[in-house]
Amino acid sequence: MRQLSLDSLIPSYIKTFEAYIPSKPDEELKKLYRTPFLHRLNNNENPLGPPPKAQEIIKRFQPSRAAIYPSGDSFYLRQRLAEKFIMHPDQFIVGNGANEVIAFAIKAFCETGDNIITADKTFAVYEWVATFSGFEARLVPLKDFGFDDKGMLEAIDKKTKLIFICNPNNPTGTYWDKDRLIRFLEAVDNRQIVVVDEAYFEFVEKEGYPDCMSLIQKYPNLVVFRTFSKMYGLAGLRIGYLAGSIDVVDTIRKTCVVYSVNTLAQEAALTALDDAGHIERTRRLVAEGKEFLKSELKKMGLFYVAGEGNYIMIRLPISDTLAYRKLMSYGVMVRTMTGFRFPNFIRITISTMPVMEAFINALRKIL
Amino acid sequence: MKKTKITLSTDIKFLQVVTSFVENSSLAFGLGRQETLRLTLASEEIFSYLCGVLGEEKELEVTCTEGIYFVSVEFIFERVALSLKAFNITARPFFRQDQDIDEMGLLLAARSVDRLSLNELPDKRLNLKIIKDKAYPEPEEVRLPVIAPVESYFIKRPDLDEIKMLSRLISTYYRDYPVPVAYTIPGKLSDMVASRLYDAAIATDKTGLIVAGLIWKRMNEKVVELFGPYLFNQKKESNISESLVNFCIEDIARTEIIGVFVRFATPEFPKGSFEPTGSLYWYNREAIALEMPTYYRALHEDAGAVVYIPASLSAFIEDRYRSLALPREVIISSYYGEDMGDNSVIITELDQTQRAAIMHPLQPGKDSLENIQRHIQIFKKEGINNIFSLVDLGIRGHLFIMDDLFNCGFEPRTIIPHGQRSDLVFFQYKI
Repeated sequence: MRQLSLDSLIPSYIKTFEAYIPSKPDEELKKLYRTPFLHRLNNNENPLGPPPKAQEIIKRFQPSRAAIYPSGDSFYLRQRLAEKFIMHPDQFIVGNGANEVIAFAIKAFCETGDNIITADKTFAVYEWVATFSGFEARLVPLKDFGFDDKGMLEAIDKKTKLIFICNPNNPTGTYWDKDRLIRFLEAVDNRQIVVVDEAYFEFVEKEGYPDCMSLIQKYPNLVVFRTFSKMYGLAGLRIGYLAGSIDVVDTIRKTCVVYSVNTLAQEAALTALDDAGHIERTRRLVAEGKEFLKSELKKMGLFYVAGEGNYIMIRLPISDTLAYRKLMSYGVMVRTMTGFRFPNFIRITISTMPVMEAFINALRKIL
Repeated sequence: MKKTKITLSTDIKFLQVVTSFVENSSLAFGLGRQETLRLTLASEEIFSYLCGVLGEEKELEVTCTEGIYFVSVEFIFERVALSLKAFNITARPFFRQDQDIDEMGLLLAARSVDRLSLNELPDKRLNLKIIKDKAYPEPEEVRLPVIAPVESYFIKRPDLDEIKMLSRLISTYYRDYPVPVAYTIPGKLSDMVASRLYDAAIATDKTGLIVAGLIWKRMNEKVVELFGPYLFNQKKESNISESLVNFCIEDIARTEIIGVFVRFATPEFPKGSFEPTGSLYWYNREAIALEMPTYYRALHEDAGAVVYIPASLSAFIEDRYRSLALPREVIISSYYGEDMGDNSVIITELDQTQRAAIMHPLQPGKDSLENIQRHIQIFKKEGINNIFSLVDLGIRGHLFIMDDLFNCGFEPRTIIPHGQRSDLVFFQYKI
């Protein structure tokens, strides 16, 4: 039998691509760093968990239903989203987390030789999916920690199919206001698909921050991503969605893997949408935690970037990866920012006050 | 990179086929006549040697590669368990017993080239590689531009002309500092970067004048080695160094590289964002040592590891793991009389340009101590006085060789976390 010659089978863009290795489970990390507890400040999760009504749905889920396939296209959830945003259910695609819908969009529009445009220091998945699918990811440097609209427009060529804007940006929290976004959409002039990732939409209270759902009718090339992982506390169930004009969404649907969203996720998400009190409570928690962190970081003389969203980015006088290891030994897990191309920065999820205090105490000890 | 390749049997009748192939390929790749001759001679030695060691009718691949600033010849063949001993650089080819005892195995070929290495490929075949660098003219004296300290600067990748200027500036401003010789030869540095095996960044003032630079290269599949930063009449407290280093880190942050190692840090090196891991001595021709601190910077969050070490390494390793806050399960182990072959095998990477040898233990054996001693004698005789051994704490066989390294006068000097299969410890021979 012939020896397997992997080299001749693997595309060149896969050979040079490095797989993302996620963190080990918490119990393994606790053993590794010899800590009896772990404050998870690394993934921008909601410390309040899912809204109470969604928690009820999860508690009441009957084990026997695990044997039954879910709705293949999240039928009821799309109906509810359509009601909420006054759109048609077919204008939505629900995916196994927003990461899955990113892949759907890129597969739907790109072919060999095409490119996508995004920023160099933003959520990495747009760049990764394009790269490991064999498409060029054109990265436009951030300007003053924000997306550079002029630079992105200049990077467009005939092969550009999609432009990804993370609004507010993860990890800097900067955002384009409605006027700036509209100017950008006008300049693109329907030549490319513009994706606005609003994963942290529900955290932003600033006036002028755009609600892209309301712009879809006027701009048929606009696609909006949202998630239930952040504000709605359903990260463990993996559910997110995209919305756009019927023609664009119909095209993207061709690349969808149906049945990828489980029943529990669909039902919990459906209920979560109705709990306004949860959003209010989370916003208060984030505001309080962020103010506390800003005040403490000022006292410590540390530079930080605190925009919108439930996170804050801090520049350290030591390597972020060393800080990660040292903080882990105090039971605090943060996100290192070297992978986001911000060497020596860490990103902190805003959590409850006792956890924020524990983080500051640990930070003082390691610096 | 351009390549030529032949496949043939290990039959001494094909000697001329190999030498003609290497000679013609090298000339076609632009290697000078003198360098081609030396590479051809080394290839002749190696082919004869492999015919003797492997026996007749074994398949052998010979590949010549144009690396822009060098030409390499690789000999790829099946690993033959019984004859591995012969790949110690100190081994005597059995078919030359009547000849001068000083003419020892692969060493003979190594003398004619700039670098020699032996690696095990993923498919378990062995790859014996020799490299001859192209010859470059020594730079003539030219008047360099006057560089003033700057307040603002731009960081960018240099074009090939800028790399040549960077090289001239390095040789002028860092004349008394240990810098890899190749970096002071403009044409060579330019070709090294063009080959994409090396990379560089420069800081320029608003007129485009180079005020600082940084060079880096792949040390292996997982680690990048960084050199510099080199500042030209700039204030040490300026943040140019940090900006250059960050440029490099941002460039490699989303690649398969997991860490950055630094052996040749300049005084301007931004230590704050790196982790001190130890130091290495660099001996010049007169055996005068300069102690160079080493640094590491992980690019990813550490996933932990279990390491097996002998008690003799315990104090060093525990100290490093504590100061670097590395999550490691350290298990003290030793040789408990289990089955071990008679002959150890050490693969040597020789760099004649830096008078350096790095010994990589491939398999332990009952003769490890004598084998290491033989290697040291040979290196000393060849004028190689920077002698290292890289030990991988993730490879069981390496565990058994560490006590012998201590007994031969080596000491652990620095560490590269996750540098290969697990953490790599740099042992250095004390002269």
